[in-house]
Amino acid sequence: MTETVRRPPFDPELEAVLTLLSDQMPPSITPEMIPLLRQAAPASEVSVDDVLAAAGIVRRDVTVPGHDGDEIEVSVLSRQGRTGVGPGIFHTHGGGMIMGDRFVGLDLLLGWINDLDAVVVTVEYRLAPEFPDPYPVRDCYAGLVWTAEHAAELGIDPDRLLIAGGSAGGGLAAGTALIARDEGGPALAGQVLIYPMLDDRDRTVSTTQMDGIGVWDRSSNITGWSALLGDRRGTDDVSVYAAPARATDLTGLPPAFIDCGSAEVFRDEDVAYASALWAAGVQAELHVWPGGFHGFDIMAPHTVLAKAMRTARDSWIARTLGV
Amino acid sequence: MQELVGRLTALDPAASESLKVVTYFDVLVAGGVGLQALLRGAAVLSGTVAGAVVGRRTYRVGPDGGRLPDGAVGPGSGTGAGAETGTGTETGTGAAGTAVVGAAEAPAATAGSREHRISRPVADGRVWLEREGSAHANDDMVVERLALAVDLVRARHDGEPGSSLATLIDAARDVGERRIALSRLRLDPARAYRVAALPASRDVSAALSGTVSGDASGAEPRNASGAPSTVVATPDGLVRAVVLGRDTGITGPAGLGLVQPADRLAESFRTALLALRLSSASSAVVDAGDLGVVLAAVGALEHVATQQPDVVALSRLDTRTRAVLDELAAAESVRAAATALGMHHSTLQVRHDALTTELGYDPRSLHGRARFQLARLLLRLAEARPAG
Repeated sequence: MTETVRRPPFDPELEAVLTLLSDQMPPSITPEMIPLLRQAAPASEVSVDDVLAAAGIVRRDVTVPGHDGDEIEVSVLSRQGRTGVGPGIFHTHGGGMIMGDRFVGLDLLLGWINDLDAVVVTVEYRLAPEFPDPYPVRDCYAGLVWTAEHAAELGIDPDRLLIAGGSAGGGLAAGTALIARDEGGPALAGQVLIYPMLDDRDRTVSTTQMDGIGVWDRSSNITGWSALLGDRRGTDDVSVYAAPARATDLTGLPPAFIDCGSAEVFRDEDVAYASALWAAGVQAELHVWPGGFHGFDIMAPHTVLAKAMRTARDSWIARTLGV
Repeated sequence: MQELVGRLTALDPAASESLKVVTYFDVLVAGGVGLQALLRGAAVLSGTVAGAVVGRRTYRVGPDGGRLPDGAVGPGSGTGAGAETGTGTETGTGAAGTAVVGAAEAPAATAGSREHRISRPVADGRVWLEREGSAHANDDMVVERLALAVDLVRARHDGEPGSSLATLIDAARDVGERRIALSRLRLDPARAYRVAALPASRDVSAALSGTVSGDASGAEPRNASGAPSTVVATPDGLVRAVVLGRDTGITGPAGLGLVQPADRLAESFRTALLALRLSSASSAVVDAGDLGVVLAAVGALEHVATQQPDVVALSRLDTRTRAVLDELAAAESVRAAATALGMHHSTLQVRHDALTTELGYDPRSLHGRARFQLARLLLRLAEARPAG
């Protein structure tokens, strides 16, 4: 018999969803699954535009300079007929550093665009393993720089520019904020780190608890970090921009919002990052939703916990943007 | 990652997905959620509004999980009379079947709309789906499981009849609590009863087929026969427990527990559950009292059943081969077995020899019969899950 690992139970409503979705979802993602998973992702173009049209949102794709000046694409999303200057949100999407496109998490963006009248710039950073570190975080930073430089033309008030991302996108948002601080880049009004992927070292209690269970388990996380860092994963040769959990100096960073579930790999690194921000004198708001698995707000939006998570997050963004 | 799986969306309107529905509500019930989480589940799975009237309170939930105003379509202010009439009628007749109520009979519905209600009674109320146009393939199943789950989670609150019955058949409760439960259920502590276990969705009145003992009365409003009944969560899913007099008849599928003194009905329920799981897919009634030491044997061996080579050997056989073995082990002669199976006698004889080699024993020998029967029953336990 295997040793029983103690871990927080899933919230019953979320567990019911997980049970139904589990036949479509392997708990553990291994490197050889990456091509298949990318293929399996739905062709997003048509449905994205349908969703945007239904929400009354205009999309403009722009080619901008990425890392080393290579061309990357961003999409500028705003409410139809929007005029003047207002809040801006620079978005870095999730997908474990290995999957997804800039429209992953679109559902979250719609509310920010329509309810907060924000202009969202979402960046198509290049994915590992084909483009390992530092490509992803440097593409994100280049996209942020472009956004800040074009703030006036985009209708963004430069004093009200946030960075936001979920999962791998949360880690990239935190890393981008660190680069911006260190290289005198754009000033950020806040960083929204949604269940962020921050630590490549695979040494938390939560990662051992979520092994072969839930969503984006320990093996999947190792797959993602290995794609990004190769042999450097877990060694001393990893920059704080790739794995912000390694940062020892968090002073001077923008205020942070961090949320996660208690039943996910990222729980402990996310809590630790919030604690480290407080220790450095940075304002931070932390929510750990009991029994939540990774990404439960996207997968189970009808549940009471998902609604509470969205409400708390959107409230922070509205307060921070002064909406 | 979320993009791998998308999100939980409504079930296919055209294809039956009963297992998903059963699983979803079983997990919710096992997790001890409340009424509103059950309604959110029903609404998201069906992609339409789910509602409930319980006592004097109305709840309506949209497919996004958001609470909707009580009175807009549901039995609110002007419609309470209609809803109560419906509930009262169904309670009085004991009909537990799904009722599709057209807009005309449900004054709550928007006048002239094509909306229908697929509804079902629960203790002290009713639950429903509000469906535009024709019903979807899973609507009946969603409402059925919603109703079961609502009764079950509400029965956990003290003071409900279902709660008393759950206490009565729970071996972990002490004798004092069980005596109080007996009194609440108006059962005679000096008499002996037995508990029947039924698939959770079965209608008790129909199962009792009119042979009411009169021993138990008035405990559950839904049940015209008067036999106390509740749905309980077991490791094998939801099961309906019914308290019967010692000679009360019942139709299958059902498991009948041992006759026990009134304050020892937990043992009767335990054996009823085993008996239910031993009943084959057919509508048989298995009476624990008929099994004697065999019941004790399979109960004791259950946790190692899947490690037994004899059980594993049977699990590898297809349904037809299992049926052949059942007949070979039960029949007076190979010739009689062949007749029952519609096979030629010599063909079956060849099959018999091959199966004897394959199993390593002859299921028609004295020892082989015992070996086969025990392995067969253990396999049923291992494979059993009460049908929805």
